[in-house]
Amino acid sequence: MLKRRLLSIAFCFSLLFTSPIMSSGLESLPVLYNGRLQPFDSVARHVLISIQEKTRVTRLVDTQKEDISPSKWLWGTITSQKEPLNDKVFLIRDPDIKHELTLTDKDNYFSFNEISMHLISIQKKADDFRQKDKHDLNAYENNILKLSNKLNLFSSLFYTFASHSDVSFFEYFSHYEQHVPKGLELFNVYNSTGLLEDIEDRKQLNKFNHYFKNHLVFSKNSSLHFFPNMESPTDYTQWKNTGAQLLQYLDQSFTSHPILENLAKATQYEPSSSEFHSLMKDTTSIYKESLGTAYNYVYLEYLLNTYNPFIYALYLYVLIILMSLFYYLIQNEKLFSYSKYLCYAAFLLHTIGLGLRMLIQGRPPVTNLYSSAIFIGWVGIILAFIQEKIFKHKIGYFIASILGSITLIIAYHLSFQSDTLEQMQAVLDSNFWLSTHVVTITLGYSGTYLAGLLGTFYILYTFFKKSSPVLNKELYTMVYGIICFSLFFSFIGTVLGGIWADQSWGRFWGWDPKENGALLIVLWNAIILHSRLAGIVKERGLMLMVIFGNIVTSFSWFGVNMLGVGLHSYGFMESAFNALIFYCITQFVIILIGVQSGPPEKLNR
Amino acid sequence: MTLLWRFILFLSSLKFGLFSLSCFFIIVLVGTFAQIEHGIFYTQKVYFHSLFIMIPFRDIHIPVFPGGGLVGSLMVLNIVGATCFKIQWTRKKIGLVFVHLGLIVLLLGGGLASCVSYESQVYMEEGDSTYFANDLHHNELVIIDPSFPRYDKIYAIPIKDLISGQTISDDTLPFEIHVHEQFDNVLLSLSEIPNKAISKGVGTGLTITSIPEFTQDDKKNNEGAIISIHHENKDYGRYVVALDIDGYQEIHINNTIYYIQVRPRRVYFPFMMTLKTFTQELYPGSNIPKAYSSLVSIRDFKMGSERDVLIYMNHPYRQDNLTFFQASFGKEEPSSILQVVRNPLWLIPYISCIIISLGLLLHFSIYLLAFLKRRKNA
Repeated sequence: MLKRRLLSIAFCFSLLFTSPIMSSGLESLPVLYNGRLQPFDSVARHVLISIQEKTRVTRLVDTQKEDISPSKWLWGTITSQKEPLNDKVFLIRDPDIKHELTLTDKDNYFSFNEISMHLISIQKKADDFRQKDKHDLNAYENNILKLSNKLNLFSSLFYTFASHSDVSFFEYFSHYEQHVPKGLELFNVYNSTGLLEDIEDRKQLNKFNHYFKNHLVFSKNSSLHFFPNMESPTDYTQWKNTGAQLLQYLDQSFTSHPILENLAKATQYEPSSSEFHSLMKDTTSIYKESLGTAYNYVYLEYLLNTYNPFIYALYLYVLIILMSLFYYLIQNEKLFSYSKYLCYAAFLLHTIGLGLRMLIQGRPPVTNLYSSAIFIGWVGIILAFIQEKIFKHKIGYFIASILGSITLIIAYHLSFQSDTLEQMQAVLDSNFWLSTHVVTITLGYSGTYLAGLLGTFYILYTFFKKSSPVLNKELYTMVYGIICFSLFFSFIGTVLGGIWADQSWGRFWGWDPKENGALLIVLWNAIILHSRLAGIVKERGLMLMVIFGNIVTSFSWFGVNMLGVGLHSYGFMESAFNALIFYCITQFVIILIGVQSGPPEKLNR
Repeated sequence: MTLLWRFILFLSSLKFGLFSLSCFFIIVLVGTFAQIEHGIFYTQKVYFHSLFIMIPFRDIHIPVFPGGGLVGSLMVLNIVGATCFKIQWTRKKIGLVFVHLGLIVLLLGGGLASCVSYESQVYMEEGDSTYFANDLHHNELVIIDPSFPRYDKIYAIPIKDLISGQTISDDTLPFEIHVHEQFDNVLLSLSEIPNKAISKGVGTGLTITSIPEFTQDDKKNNEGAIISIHHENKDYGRYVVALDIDGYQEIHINNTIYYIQVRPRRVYFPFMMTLKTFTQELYPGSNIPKAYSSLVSIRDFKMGSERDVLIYMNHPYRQDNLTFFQASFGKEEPSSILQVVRNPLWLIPYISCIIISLGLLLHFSIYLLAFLKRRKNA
């Protein structure tokens, strides 16, 4: 027994290390970006997600297609290499815009070079649309604004390690470094006397001036902050981007910044070269020394990105679903026990991922839609395990895996929407309320989904196979118990939400869509319990009602976020909206099957 | 059994409770979808606070479904009845009793609060002082009598009390006001041709068009009216008054000048509030706001004492049933927008929710323990 458990744990860890490490040290460099310290890899992923809604870049190298890692792509872009300009990374779905930019209709991804000649006209339009009221924008105007934002983000990357002239950044930087003392001297002379006699001097001062202006532009445009103040590296407000750091060389007491020196040198080499590796190693040790534990969190995040445990958990859950289905067909006990241990392994991976996220963020498990998906699955699985422990019907791991796989697939898609570890908006920045209100309301979601799944299982099982009344009775008891669980947590969660709202906006209840969504779950669960009490529904009726609960919960979780979605938004929200509608239809179909497959309550009487 | 008793039993029945729960479910659902088109304030009025949900058909409004107000009241009656007559007050069901008692308090408190509470806002730039906030949803017609040396005398009439065709007269008012036409929302535009319907004030140069009410939250209805002023059987002219008209219009009666204006209802504080500094903190290296806070000083009118208070996200300031929240900030100057809510019943949801949560916990624990015991024995 113990051996098996150990084996399964070993198996799940071996999965983690099967993915190849191709780190050159670049991926885990800490960067202050979007308000938080994160590994270079996360920045690269975020930039790519923002412009192409995926992280994979495929590049044609010598007529061969080659996958480029996000970090390598970003490094190429910020050091002004030619290739990224030809990578097809701009996602444009709107046919009107494609037509306008004379792009082919078939593709959705285009390179910067393909769009660049229309840059001015796009930006001009976007500037006009920005003046308009947000609600009055039509789909085309919205999409132009989106494209303009993508272009702005991409162009802002050119202000990191680019010289904006023929020379390489390293040459540019070394010239500048050598030039600073003389330039400052000339500047002081000019300032005190008002003129420079020598023409060469004047030229030099002019050049110096040019540098100054250049770096001012750099510092305004770049959002990648690589450079801590070496005296107080953990004060993130003092971190600088390249432009600002170059400007600091004008301070006479300033000598040089070791990280800037290293990175400037690194711009000359290919990321795969040994020189690059040793420079990165050196840089990493500087960061490590100055940041201490903060560096460890950055490295953890890099690990989380690379060995995404949720993906492996997802694979396992899908595998378990298949194994369980086989098990129900052939009733092989060995198959069941394998699927059981695999399920524990998958859950362990799931838990590791969740734990790492909490550790990196220093926050409760749910901070955004992405993490709510992961957490809903996680809680649902625990509940399913408990059920299995009590009732031993050999459906717990099957149900758990379905819940796990669905929620992780949802999370996977959500991860291409924004930074999943993003900073909280001001009003949400409260660990107390996040860990009380958000967690309890999510527990309620988990409960209703689990009950809905058990209901679905009941309906389909009785449809395909004549099941025993004993199993039915116990399923009924399970579902009833879970409904009580969800009513309790969704009520408490909703109330805590009201109290939070009272604390931050001065009203307990405002009939806002998200509040209403939560209330609907509470009401629906109350309706189910009272219908059962009144004898309006019995076994099958209760099952049908909990399946409808799936729809109610999905509306509350996702639907209310989509209320404002128009019909032609060509984006994630539209496909998510379609998925939601599709899901609701499947639930209705199951309800219909349940209603059709036999006079429900007679069996019981 | 008398008819009344049977009616009471019907009201307290589980089936009736289910019916009202289901109605409430539908109202919440429909009211949520309505927010695709309309603002929250409008949907609250039409769906959640109303007795009936009305749908306009030609010129009349037809009730199509019970509104939140009605269903809420029915639910209270149902729960009261059920708690008194239906639920057994036994040790096993004591949790349920708590839940339903808590629900009564919650629903009653919520209903009352929606009647007595109101929301208002203060916009202050750094250094500004104020002693009142503007109600966002209620406007009033004010008449200012400046003829007193140390203060102005102000008469305020809720704009909703101006009803077309009626005359407002009261011994305390300095003159009578006859309302010719009242507008829920009116469009005023400059016109070259003098408006003959108006004889005094800025209205003589305006075209007045009544337009439908806005239902979105970000558009404000320009409430107004065409009124004429009468005093001792003499006509002192016909004016148009509206929220959008900035400044005061003058009325001259027997050497006295009165000023009239439509403005948001004011919520007065018993103190003077000054915004000392407004701070907006961003996450480093980004434009994501991390926190806003307003440092205000509060000078009490009665006590004369002065103290500083820091109001920030999730940390409101409460005094005299008024609660001040950091709501937003102005774009240009360092300025702060505080939401001011007067809700004397703010504690009720807290209390009722504690009762209900305890009740649920108690009830489900009793049943869970019994269930586990049964399984163990089986």
